[in-house]
Amino acid sequence: MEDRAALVLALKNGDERAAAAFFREFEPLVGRTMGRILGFGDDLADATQEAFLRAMRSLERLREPQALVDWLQQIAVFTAVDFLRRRKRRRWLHFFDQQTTDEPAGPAPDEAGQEALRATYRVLDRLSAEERSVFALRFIDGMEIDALASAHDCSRSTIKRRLARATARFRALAQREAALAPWLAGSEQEDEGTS
Amino acid sequence: MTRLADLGRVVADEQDRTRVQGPPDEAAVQHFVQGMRRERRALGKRWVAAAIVTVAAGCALGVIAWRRHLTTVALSGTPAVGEPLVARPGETVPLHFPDGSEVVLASGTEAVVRELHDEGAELEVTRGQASVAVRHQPGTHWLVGAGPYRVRVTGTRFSVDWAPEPKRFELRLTQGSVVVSSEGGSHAAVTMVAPQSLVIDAGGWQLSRTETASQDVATPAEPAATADASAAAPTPEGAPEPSPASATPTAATASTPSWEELIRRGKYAQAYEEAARHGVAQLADSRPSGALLSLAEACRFSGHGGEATQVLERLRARFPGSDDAATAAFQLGRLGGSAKWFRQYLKERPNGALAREASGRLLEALDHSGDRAAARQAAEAYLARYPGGPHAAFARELLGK
Repeated sequence: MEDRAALVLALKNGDERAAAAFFREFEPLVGRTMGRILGFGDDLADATQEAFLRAMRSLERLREPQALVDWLQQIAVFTAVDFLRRRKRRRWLHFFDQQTTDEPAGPAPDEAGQEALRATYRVLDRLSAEERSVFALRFIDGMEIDALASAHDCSRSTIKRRLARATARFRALAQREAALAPWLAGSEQEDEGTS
Repeated sequence: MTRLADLGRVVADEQDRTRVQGPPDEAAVQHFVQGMRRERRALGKRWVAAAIVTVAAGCALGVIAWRRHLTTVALSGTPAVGEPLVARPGETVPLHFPDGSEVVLASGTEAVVRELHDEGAELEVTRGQASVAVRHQPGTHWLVGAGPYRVRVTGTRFSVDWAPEPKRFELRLTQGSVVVSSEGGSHAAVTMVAPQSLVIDAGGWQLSRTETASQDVATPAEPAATADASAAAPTPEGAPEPSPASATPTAATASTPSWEELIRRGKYAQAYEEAARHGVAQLADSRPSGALLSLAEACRFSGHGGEATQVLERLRARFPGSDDAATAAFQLGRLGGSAKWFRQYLKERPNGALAREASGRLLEALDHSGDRAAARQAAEAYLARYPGGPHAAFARELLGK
């Protein structure tokens, strides 16, 4: 934690080496959190850069270094939500709705898994930015309710309500996706079984 | 697990399989640093514009603030030999040296540069703390003095703290290696290899292993220095022996990432498995408080709440009164949903970074326990302090407003 305090102090001083170390250390966490929400598409790198720059701008508001990870994750979530809104505006302006959020770029794909991935993000594209964020982090990233509430800077009860709404919407919209049928057999109550 | 959670796991596995894992590429790092630099320049220009407007308006207060800003800038940058360097209370002073090395003087620190050359410098810390990052290059010649002690440096990161009264020297080495000697050779020179700290005071010389980031550990150290260190590094009495996980950090990072590194990457399940291999209880008994908070996080996120509780309780027993112990109280509240721990956090850190969240969680815990009177009381206190806070709506709900 003393290392973290030194890092925060150096960042506040505008130390570029510290900034580079900060990015190297936390980019995997921020990138993963944002990637779960946005999908690992073309704009993820820009979104990640934006989240880190926002973090630097609001560094003065970070009062205790031990809150660094929670604080950064919150910034990542809010930046991702803003990017989702921007995406929607762009699509509206261009009458274009064909963006694939998660094209595979790596080794030999598992066809069923890839189809489930694409179908999931097609459905998520139709949720509101807030619903998508809470659904993706809960079910894809496996976040617990407490962590989810912290990342969205709201109470447990608010996040549980939002999650219930997002789950219901996802289930309803996913009915049109054949690839998701195997996972829709359970009940909504089962999905809400969170602590 | 629910069906949607199963779907989520399939999706996550697909994403993890196809995306690039590990640290970001250097181009992304530099892109961020350049973006930060551009923003700082833009901010600087706004500062200048604001100062000109202020001067034109003849506002005395503005002129004073502007002059103060200029003074700080003049102190930062490349120092001149013999120039007294003073970081005023509440300020830090970054210094950049011709060889690319950097030093940050902490608030209240006094120092002076004795020598300056292309391969390094000689810096004397007369009081306070300096964080030093020496850039390694062939022929590096860096010397940092603090009181009667001398730190000879190659490519290294460390902080040195010198208090003339009561003559206490402390060096925390986070990267590389250094040789510490005393004027007149009153004590044999000690070679330190990161991560170690050395405290010299009336009680003598105490060298111990410290916690540090893994990328620091991976920095090459001089082979000769490593050999010296093992001979000249007595473990202080009563200090815990390094755990198997940390005893050979370089070898460990070369094969499997350490549990700390896995946590940094967000791989909590793997981090837990790696920690469990060394024994979670043993780690809880030997690791520093910051590492224990991370370990508890890994336990919690990997579904081992019971062990997370044990780690946090052990942390509080070993480091009572510390910031990390207070944070552990908050985390214990999160784990068990118990009002007791949120109250404890607020008692220990009423204005801490987690105070607002702890106050809100206290409401939820009291409401959940059915203690209506206490919940209402806490709700009133919450609204008085955080009328626009994330739990404000819930507090009003509890009060029937």
